[in-house]
Amino acid sequence: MKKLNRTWMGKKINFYWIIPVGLISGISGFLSSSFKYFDFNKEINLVNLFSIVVTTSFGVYIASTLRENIEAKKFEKELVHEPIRTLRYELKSLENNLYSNSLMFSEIVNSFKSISSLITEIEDFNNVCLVVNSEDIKKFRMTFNQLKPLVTDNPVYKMKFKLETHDMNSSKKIVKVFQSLLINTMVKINRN
Amino acid sequence: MIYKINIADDFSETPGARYKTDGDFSGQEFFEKILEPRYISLKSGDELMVNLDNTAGYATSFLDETFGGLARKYGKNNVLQKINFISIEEPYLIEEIKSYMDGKKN
Repeated sequence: MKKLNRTWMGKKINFYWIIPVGLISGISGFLSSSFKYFDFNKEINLVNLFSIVVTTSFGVYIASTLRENIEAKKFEKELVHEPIRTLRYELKSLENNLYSNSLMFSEIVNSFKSISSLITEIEDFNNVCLVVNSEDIKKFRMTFNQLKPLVTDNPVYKMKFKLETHDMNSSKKIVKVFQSLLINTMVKINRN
Repeated sequence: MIYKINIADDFSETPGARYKTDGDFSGQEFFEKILEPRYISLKSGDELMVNLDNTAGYATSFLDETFGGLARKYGKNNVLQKINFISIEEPYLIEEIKSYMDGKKN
Protein backbone atom coordinates (compact mmCIF):
# COMPACT_ATOMS: atom_id res chain seq x y z
CA MET A 1 0.00 0.00 0.00
CA LYS A 2 1.27 3.39 -0.95
CA LYS A 3 2.11 5.43 2.12
CA LEU A 4 -0.05 8.50 2.75
CA ASN A 5 2.93 10.63 3.64
CA ARG A 6 3.88 13.90 2.02
CA THR A 7 6.60 16.38 2.78
CA TRP A 8 5.97 20.07 3.12
CA MET A 9 8.83 22.50 3.81
CA GLY A 10 11.06 19.56 4.72
CA LYS A 11 8.59 18.10 7.29
CA LYS A 12 6.76 14.78 6.87
CA ILE A 13 3.01 15.08 7.05
CA ASN A 14 0.88 12.02 7.92
CA PHE A 15 -2.56 11.77 6.26
CA TYR A 16 -3.84 8.62 8.03
CA TRP A 17 -6.02 10.78 10.32
CA ILE A 18 -8.26 11.47 7.29
CA ILE A 19 -9.72 7.90 7.49
CA PRO A 20 -11.35 8.09 11.02
CA VAL A 21 -12.33 11.74 10.53
CA GLY A 22 -14.01 10.85 7.24
CA LEU A 23 -15.88 7.92 8.80
CA ILE A 24 -17.11 9.97 11.77
CA SER A 25 -18.22 12.80 9.44
CA GLY A 26 -20.13 10.28 7.26
CA ILE A 27 -21.95 8.67 10.19
CA SER A 28 -22.86 11.99 11.83
CA GLY A 29 -24.11 13.32 8.47
CA PHE A 30 -26.29 10.24 8.01
CA LEU A 31 -27.72 10.55 11.55
CA SER A 32 -28.52 14.24 11.18
CA SER A 33 -30.24 13.67 7.80
CA SER A 34 -32.28 10.77 9.30
CA PHE A 35 -33.38 12.85 12.29
CA LYS A 36 -36.79 13.61 10.72
CA TYR A 37 -37.69 9.88 10.85
CA PHE A 38 -37.69 9.85 14.67
CA ASP A 39 -41.22 9.96 16.03
CA PHE A 40 -41.85 12.12 19.11
CA ASN A 41 -44.84 11.16 21.22
CA LYS A 42 -46.19 13.61 23.81
CA GLU A 43 -47.46 10.79 26.08
CA ILE A 44 -45.51 9.54 29.11
CA ASN A 45 -45.53 5.78 29.58
CA LEU A 46 -45.37 5.13 33.36
CA VAL A 47 -43.77 1.71 32.92
CA ASN A 48 -41.03 3.17 30.75
CA LEU A 49 -40.58 6.08 33.15
CA PHE A 50 -40.29 3.67 36.09
CA SER A 51 -37.83 1.57 34.11
CA ILE A 52 -35.69 4.64 33.35
CA VAL A 53 -35.70 5.76 37.01
CA VAL A 54 -34.78 2.25 38.28
CA THR A 55 -32.04 1.79 35.67
CA THR A 56 -30.57 5.23 36.36
CA SER A 57 -30.66 4.63 40.14
CA PHE A 58 -28.90 1.27 39.70
CA GLY A 59 -26.33 2.90 37.46
CA VAL A 60 -25.62 5.66 39.98
CA TYR A 61 -25.53 3.17 42.90
CA ILE A 62 -23.13 0.77 41.12
CA ALA A 63 -20.86 3.61 40.00
CA SER A 64 -20.69 5.17 43.48
CA THR A 65 -20.13 1.78 45.21
CA LEU A 66 -17.40 0.88 42.75
CA ARG A 67 -15.77 4.27 43.27
CA GLU A 68 -15.87 3.88 47.05
CA ASN A 69 -14.36 0.38 46.83
CA ILE A 70 -11.61 1.56 44.49
CA GLU A 71 -10.78 4.48 46.77
CA ALA A 72 -10.79 2.27 49.89
CA LYS A 73 -8.46 -0.24 48.20
CA LYS A 74 -6.21 2.59 47.01
CA PHE A 75 -5.99 3.92 50.59
CA GLU A 76 -5.19 0.43 51.96
CA LYS A 77 -2.52 -0.12 49.32
CA GLU A 78 -0.95 3.21 50.24
CA LEU A 79 -0.87 2.19 53.92
CA VAL A 80 1.41 -0.74 53.02
CA HIS A 81 3.26 1.05 50.23
CA GLU A 82 4.40 3.94 52.39
CA PRO A 83 6.50 1.95 54.94
CA ILE A 84 7.91 -0.17 52.07
CA ARG A 85 9.11 3.03 50.41
CA THR A 86 10.72 4.19 53.68
CA LEU A 87 12.30 0.74 54.06
CA ARG A 88 13.80 1.11 50.56
CA TYR A 89 15.43 4.41 51.55
CA GLU A 90 16.83 2.83 54.73
CA LEU A 91 18.24 -0.08 52.73
CA LYS A 92 19.67 2.25 50.11
CA SER A 93 21.46 4.17 52.86
CA LEU A 94 22.77 0.90 54.36
CA GLU A 95 23.92 -0.22 50.92
CA ASN A 96 25.79 3.05 50.41
CA ASN A 97 27.48 2.60 53.79
CA LEU A 98 28.49 -0.95 52.87
CA TYR A 99 29.94 0.10 49.52
CA SER A 100 31.81 3.04 51.01
CA ASN A 101 32.88 0.89 54.00
CA SER A 102 31.52 3.58 56.30
CA LEU A 103 29.99 1.36 58.96
CA MET A 104 29.72 3.69 61.96
CA PHE A 105 28.47 1.56 64.87
CA SER A 106 25.69 3.89 66.08
CA GLU A 107 24.40 4.67 62.58
CA ILE A 108 24.30 1.02 61.49
CA VAL A 109 22.67 -0.25 64.68
CA ASN A 110 20.06 2.51 64.47
CA SER A 111 19.44 1.70 60.83
CA PHE A 112 18.75 -1.97 61.67
CA LYS A 113 16.36 -0.87 64.42
CA SER A 114 14.43 1.26 61.88
CA ILE A 115 14.38 -1.56 59.32
CA SER A 116 13.05 -4.06 61.88
CA SER A 117 10.34 -1.63 63.07
CA LEU A 118 9.32 -0.89 59.47
CA ILE A 119 8.96 -4.61 58.68
CA THR A 120 6.72 -4.97 61.75
CA GLU A 121 4.66 -1.98 60.57
CA ILE A 122 4.27 -3.51 57.09
CA GLU A 123 3.22 -6.87 58.64
CA ASP A 124 0.67 -5.14 60.88
CA PHE A 125 -0.91 -3.11 58.06
CA ASN A 126 -0.95 -6.06 55.68
CA ASN A 127 -2.60 -8.30 58.28
CA VAL A 128 -5.54 -5.89 58.26
CA CYS A 129 -5.57 -4.72 54.62
CA LEU A 130 -4.45 -7.99 52.95
CA VAL A 131 -3.06 -6.18 49.91
CA VAL A 132 -0.24 -8.67 49.36
CA ASN A 133 0.48 -12.32 50.20
CA SER A 134 1.83 -12.52 53.76
CA GLU A 135 4.54 -14.94 52.53
CA ASP A 136 6.08 -12.03 50.60
CA ILE A 137 6.33 -10.00 53.80
CA LYS A 138 7.79 -12.98 55.69
CA LYS A 139 10.63 -12.97 53.16
CA PHE A 140 11.51 -9.42 54.32
CA ARG A 141 11.94 -10.70 57.88
CA MET A 142 13.94 -13.74 56.78
CA THR A 143 16.26 -11.56 54.74
CA PHE A 144 16.64 -9.13 57.66
CA ASN A 145 17.53 -12.07 59.95
CA GLN A 146 20.31 -13.07 57.57
CA LEU A 147 21.62 -9.54 57.09
CA LYS A 148 21.75 -8.15 60.64
CA PRO A 149 24.18 -10.71 62.16
CA LEU A 150 26.41 -10.54 59.08
CA VAL A 151 27.01 -6.87 59.81
CA THR A 152 26.48 -6.34 63.54
CA ASP A 153 28.00 -9.53 64.92
CA ASN A 154 31.44 -8.26 63.97
CA PRO A 155 34.10 -6.60 66.12
CA VAL A 156 34.13 -2.85 66.46
CA TYR A 157 37.25 -0.78 65.93
CA LYS A 158 37.32 3.01 66.37
CA MET A 159 33.49 3.07 66.61
CA LYS A 160 33.15 1.27 63.26
CA PHE A 161 32.17 -2.31 62.43
CA LYS A 162 35.10 -4.18 60.97
CA LEU A 163 33.80 -6.70 58.42
CA GLU A 164 35.73 -9.56 56.88
CA THR A 165 35.67 -9.57 53.06
CA HIS A 166 33.38 -12.60 53.04
CA ASP A 167 30.82 -10.94 55.35
CA MET A 168 31.04 -7.69 53.39
CA ASN A 169 30.39 -9.43 50.05
CA SER A 170 27.54 -11.53 51.48
CA SER A 171 25.96 -8.41 53.05
CA LYS A 172 26.08 -6.55 49.74
CA LYS A 173 24.42 -9.50 47.97
CA ILE A 174 21.70 -9.80 50.60
CA VAL A 175 20.95 -6.07 50.45
CA LYS A 176 20.51 -6.41 46.66
CA VAL A 177 18.14 -9.37 47.17
CA PHE A 178 16.23 -7.38 49.79
CA GLN A 179 15.91 -4.40 47.41
CA SER A 180 14.49 -6.57 44.64
CA LEU A 181 12.06 -8.22 47.09
CA LEU A 182 10.77 -4.78 48.00
CA ILE A 183 10.39 -3.70 44.38
CA ASN A 184 8.60 -6.96 43.44
CA THR A 185 6.21 -6.53 46.37
CA MET A 186 5.48 -2.91 45.46
CA VAL A 187 4.66 -3.97 41.89
CA LYS A 188 2.45 -6.85 43.15
CA ILE A 189 0.54 -4.47 45.42
CA ASN A 190 0.02 -2.08 42.54
CA ARG A 191 -1.28 -4.83 40.23
CA ASN A 192 -3.63 -6.41 42.78
CA MET B 1 8.31 -10.20 93.29
CA ILE B 2 8.92 -8.49 89.96
CA TYR B 3 12.28 -6.79 89.41
CA LYS B 4 13.01 -4.52 86.47
CA ILE B 5 15.96 -3.63 84.29
CA ASN B 6 15.53 -0.71 81.94
CA ILE B 7 18.58 -0.87 79.70
CA ALA B 8 18.33 2.79 78.61
CA ASP B 9 18.05 4.06 82.21
CA ASP B 10 20.13 1.50 84.11
CA PHE B 11 22.93 0.98 81.59
CA SER B 12 23.04 3.11 78.43
CA GLU B 13 20.89 4.58 75.68
CA THR B 14 23.63 3.50 73.27
CA PRO B 15 24.52 -0.11 74.07
CA GLY B 16 27.75 -1.16 72.36
CA ALA B 17 29.16 -4.31 70.83
CA ARG B 18 30.28 -7.63 72.37
CA TYR B 19 33.47 -7.14 74.37
CA LYS B 20 34.89 -4.35 76.49
CA THR B 21 37.69 -4.13 73.91
CA ASP B 22 35.08 -3.10 71.32
CA GLY B 23 34.31 0.11 73.21
CA ASP B 24 31.99 1.55 75.84
CA PHE B 25 28.79 -0.07 77.09
CA SER B 26 29.60 -3.50 75.75
CA GLY B 27 27.52 -6.64 76.19
CA GLN B 28 30.27 -8.07 78.39
CA GLU B 29 30.03 -5.04 80.70
CA PHE B 30 26.22 -5.24 80.90
CA PHE B 31 26.38 -8.97 81.58
CA GLU B 32 28.95 -8.65 84.36
CA LYS B 33 27.67 -5.49 86.05
CA ILE B 34 23.90 -5.79 85.72
CA LEU B 35 22.34 -8.84 84.09
CA GLU B 36 24.08 -11.74 85.80
CA PRO B 37 24.08 -10.23 89.33
CA ARG B 38 20.33 -9.46 89.06
CA TYR B 39 19.60 -12.91 87.62
CA ILE B 40 21.52 -14.70 90.36
CA SER B 41 19.76 -12.69 93.06
CA LEU B 42 16.31 -13.82 91.91
CA LYS B 43 14.54 -16.15 94.32
CA SER B 44 11.99 -18.81 93.44
CA GLY B 45 8.86 -17.13 92.03
CA ASP B 46 10.67 -13.87 91.31
CA GLU B 47 10.58 -12.38 87.83
CA LEU B 48 12.89 -10.02 85.99
CA MET B 49 11.36 -7.67 83.41
CA VAL B 50 13.90 -6.35 80.92
CA ASN B 51 12.80 -3.23 79.06
CA LEU B 52 14.65 -2.91 75.76
CA ASP B 53 13.07 0.37 74.58
CA ASN B 54 14.47 3.91 74.30
CA THR B 55 17.92 2.91 73.09
CA ALA B 56 19.55 3.65 69.73
CA GLY B 57 19.31 -0.06 68.84
CA TYR B 58 21.17 -3.29 69.55
CA ALA B 59 23.98 -5.05 67.71
CA THR B 60 23.68 -8.82 67.35
CA SER B 61 26.96 -9.14 69.24
CA PHE B 62 25.52 -7.30 72.28
CA LEU B 63 22.35 -9.40 72.41
CA ASP B 64 24.24 -12.64 71.89
CA GLU B 65 26.85 -11.83 74.53
CA THR B 66 24.25 -10.84 77.15
CA PHE B 67 21.07 -12.90 76.79
CA GLY B 68 22.61 -15.64 74.63
CA GLY B 69 25.44 -15.82 77.16
CA LEU B 70 23.01 -16.07 80.09
CA ALA B 71 21.16 -18.92 78.35
CA ARG B 72 24.40 -20.75 77.59
CA LYS B 73 25.48 -20.43 81.23
CA TYR B 74 22.20 -21.16 83.04
CA GLY B 75 20.06 -22.92 80.41
CA LYS B 76 17.55 -21.33 78.06
CA ASN B 77 14.45 -22.71 79.82
CA ASN B 78 15.65 -21.60 83.26
CA VAL B 79 16.37 -18.11 81.96
CA LEU B 80 13.05 -17.78 80.13
CA GLN B 81 11.18 -18.92 83.25
CA LYS B 82 12.55 -15.92 85.12
CA ILE B 83 13.10 -13.24 82.48
CA ASN B 84 10.48 -11.42 80.41
CA PHE B 85 11.16 -8.80 77.80
CA ILE B 86 9.40 -5.58 76.86
CA SER B 87 10.00 -4.05 73.43
CA ILE B 88 7.30 -1.76 72.12
CA GLU B 89 9.53 0.08 69.66
CA GLU B 90 10.99 -3.03 68.05
CA PRO B 91 8.67 -5.95 68.90
CA TYR B 92 10.62 -8.49 66.84
CA LEU B 93 13.68 -7.95 69.06
CA ILE B 94 12.27 -10.45 71.57
CA GLU B 95 12.13 -13.20 68.90
CA GLU B 96 15.64 -12.22 67.88
CA ILE B 97 16.94 -12.59 71.45
CA LYS B 98 15.25 -16.00 71.80
CA SER B 99 16.92 -17.16 68.59
CA TYR B 100 20.32 -16.11 70.00
CA MET B 101 19.46 -18.04 73.16
CA ASP B 102 18.96 -21.06 70.87
CA GLY B 103 22.36 -20.41 69.36
CA LYS B 104 20.91 -19.34 66.00
CA LYS B 105 22.02 -16.20 64.27
CA ASN B 106 19.83 -16.35 61.18
